[in-house]
Amino acid sequence: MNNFIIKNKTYGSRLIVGTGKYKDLSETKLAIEASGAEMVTVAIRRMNIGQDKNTPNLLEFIDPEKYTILPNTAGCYTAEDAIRTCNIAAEILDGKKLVKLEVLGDEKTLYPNIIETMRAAEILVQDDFDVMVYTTDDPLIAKELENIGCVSVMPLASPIGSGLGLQNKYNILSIVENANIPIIVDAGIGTASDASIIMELGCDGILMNTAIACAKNPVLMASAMKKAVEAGYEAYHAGRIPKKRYASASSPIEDNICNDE
Amino acid sequence: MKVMVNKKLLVLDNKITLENLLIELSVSTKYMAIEVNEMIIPKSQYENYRLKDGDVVEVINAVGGG
Repeated sequence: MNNFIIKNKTYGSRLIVGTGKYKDLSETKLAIEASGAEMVTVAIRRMNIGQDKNTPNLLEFIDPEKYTILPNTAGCYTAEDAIRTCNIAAEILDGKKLVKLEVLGDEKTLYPNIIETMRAAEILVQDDFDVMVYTTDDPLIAKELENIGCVSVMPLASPIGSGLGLQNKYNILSIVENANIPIIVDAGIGTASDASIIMELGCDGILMNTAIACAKNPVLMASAMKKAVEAGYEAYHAGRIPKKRYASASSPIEDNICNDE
Repeated sequence: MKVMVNKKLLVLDNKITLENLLIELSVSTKYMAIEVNEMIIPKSQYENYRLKDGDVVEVINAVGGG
């Protein structure tokens, strides 16, 4: 067992949650509380200036003093757009430079464009950003992103919002085995068991949004995900038994009064 | 003068400052950022930064996302 540390800060929860797709800000807040997450992602967008003055800013609802805010670059398809978004995020968050870098390549799959992702990561690291980077489950790319200086590598389990769960267990395992920085699986979770299976591989954490926000009962699913991540993490460190083809009795064979031969 | 603010064309007083623009739009300066012609203007400059005709202003904040 070890601490979950991102850029010198220790987190009690290994679950990072998104704030998109909720019915309203009240539900967002309740789900985050139920998830136990201490880090939450947000997107950076043009302000809706004509909106109802009583509608609070997201960050007045999700207090940046209480949660670590992880702004993302969702919707960016070039390194330049992602870097621009990161700089705006730092201005919004009073100079904080922890970001989730995602540079997308295709609207249908929302797969990351790795060439642009690596280009953006290099520039952002040089500009003193702490980059948590969304990427594919390619072990060689994951290592390259670590070598560039990203503070965490975040490979996908399956496409964003797909709910397909972990599709390439052995690639994630290779990424984890080769890493010296936290590996956080980001995207593709469908339900609690998906989260446990990922954590049982030795991953450091999971980032999810849709699986909670679009569940029939988001607050209850948030609670389930909290337990699933903790269960998977503990099971990994407890060490599972080897698989055997045949049974192995749990009760003693000897001194059975019904079978005294 | 005409200034584009968040994709909307606004007719504003000449040389209005960013600070006064935000007051006019009822926008708080907490947890937000402004770009003028794709350059971030730090909050410390809002008081003295004067817009000019044709400027493109983006007022940006954090919203729900994953």
